[in-house]
Amino acid sequence: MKSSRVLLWLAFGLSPALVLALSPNAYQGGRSRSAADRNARNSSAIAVMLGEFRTSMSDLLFVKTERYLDSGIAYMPHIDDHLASVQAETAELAEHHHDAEHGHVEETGHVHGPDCDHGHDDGHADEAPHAEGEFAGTPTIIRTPEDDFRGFIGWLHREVKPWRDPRLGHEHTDGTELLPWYRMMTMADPHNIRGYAIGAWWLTDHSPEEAVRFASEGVENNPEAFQLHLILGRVLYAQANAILADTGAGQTQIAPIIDRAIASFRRGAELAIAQRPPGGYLDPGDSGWDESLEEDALASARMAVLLLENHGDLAEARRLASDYTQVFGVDYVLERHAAAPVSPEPHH
Amino acid sequence: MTVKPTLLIAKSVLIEAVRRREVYAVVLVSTLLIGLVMTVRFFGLEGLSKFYREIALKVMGIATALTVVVLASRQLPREFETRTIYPLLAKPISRTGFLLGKLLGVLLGAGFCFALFMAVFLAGTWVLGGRVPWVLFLQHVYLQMLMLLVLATLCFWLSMILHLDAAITIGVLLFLLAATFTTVTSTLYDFASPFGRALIVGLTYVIPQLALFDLSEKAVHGEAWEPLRLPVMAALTAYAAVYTVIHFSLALLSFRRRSL
Repeated sequence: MKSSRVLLWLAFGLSPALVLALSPNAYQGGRSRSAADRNARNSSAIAVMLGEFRTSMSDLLFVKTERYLDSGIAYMPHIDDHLASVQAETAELAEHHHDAEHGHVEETGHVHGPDCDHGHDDGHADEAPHAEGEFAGTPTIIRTPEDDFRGFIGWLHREVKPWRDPRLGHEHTDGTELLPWYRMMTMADPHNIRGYAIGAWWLTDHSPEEAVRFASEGVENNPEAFQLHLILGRVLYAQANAILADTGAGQTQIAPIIDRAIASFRRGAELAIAQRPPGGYLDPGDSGWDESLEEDALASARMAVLLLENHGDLAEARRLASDYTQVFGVDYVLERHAAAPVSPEPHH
Repeated sequence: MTVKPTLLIAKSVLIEAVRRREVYAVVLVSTLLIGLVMTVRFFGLEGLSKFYREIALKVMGIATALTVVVLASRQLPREFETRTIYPLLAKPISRTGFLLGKLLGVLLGAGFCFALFMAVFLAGTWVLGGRVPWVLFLQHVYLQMLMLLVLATLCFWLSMILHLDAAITIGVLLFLLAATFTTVTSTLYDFASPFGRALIVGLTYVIPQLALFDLSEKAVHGEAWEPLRLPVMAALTAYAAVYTVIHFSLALLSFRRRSL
């Protein structure tokens, strides 16, 4: 009895050492990560147990932002590969707020090409934002009257809670009130890449400086997350455009910000290329590289090329486009610029 | 049944609830939490009030419900334990009147607690420059009081048939898991066997669905939603009344059977 107690105390005393030997020591799971990242990191049971709460909390807060966007309506998760990309999600938000210029570098960084396919979006970015019917058919957590076994209670539930017939399209709200939740989710989990990316993009409309600060914080906490370099580049570009519009400053005054944006896009593209399997999302192997990551990687590459071109460094833009084309293969935008960059035409 | 002794009992419960420092402790801790939320600056932006409204309403709802669970569960066992039930029942009051007095007192205590919170909530919203959707907000307060009524009568009954700690635990769990229960049973239904489905339907009607009294989500997103229609409010009142009568009757039955 006495010896068993001694053993127990000994095991207790040595337990920190056991934990130290485990790798990784930080759990990084949840919906905010790529599949490969989750698989690679969640091999430690201890890390899973200790990290689950924090990451789950952060992911729950992300769900909260989706509900805020839909005025509190609880829809079933409807994130497909396309919508999971930072590029697609922020493009969605931008369509919500801006009229985008087809065929140019948009504030979203999205570039429409002939093969451009938005999946859920039949229209173009410059059409009316969130037309009736968008996301129509996404089921709600609360059942529809035809599908509800609860009768009277189901009716009351639909009346008391925010609910809308799922056959109708979503009606998104102004995203300002979402911002505290992005702050909270990145405080709960500083590795929540989507939280930083989408939060920074929402912030751009209200305060480009704060957006740059928030995205920079994300990059600092996740230096290897190429999506955050992409979003940092985009908010820097938006900040430069805001300065041009608000103060009437010239190109030379915004040049340092544009240079920083280009550097961020290039860093994002470099990291993406390093992480991308040679076959891309069509042949991901065990990497977990999916269409959303491919889309973000391409967006980084395209933005680096387009910004270089728009700000006069044609030779470098062509060289970069050529390099990226070799990596990504067929891509309308990169190929066009690698072959014949158009005349410099700064875009505001 | 005379009304005066019932009101006297209600008054004594209310006075006790007001005098007990734990109500103030709950309000103070919750207010500190809410105050903390108010001090957080989000990217230097002004006028962000939904986050505050959501957190504040949730904290207030939970704190008030927990206060009611403890207050209601303690009423009857303590009377027996301290033997104060004997002089009380020696007065010209029926057991029904006695129990009604206790219930009224608990509800007044809950109302007192809720009123303190509402003052904090409205002051906070005013400071943040937010807009209060008044009709939805008042409907939320009314529905919360209905929920507390159901919860209080349930705790009366549980405290008569279970140990005090068990009654408090079950009361707390029923409240905290109400929303989860509603969602989980609805989701599980599709995957259940015919027997399981019958069980889920049965449980849906046997267990009071306390989540139906939580209008906070619509109150938070008040700009997007209309106030509840009168038939809906009436249906919710009737729904609460059914469970209140059932719980109260069960509590009274146990109370009557209890030998003094």
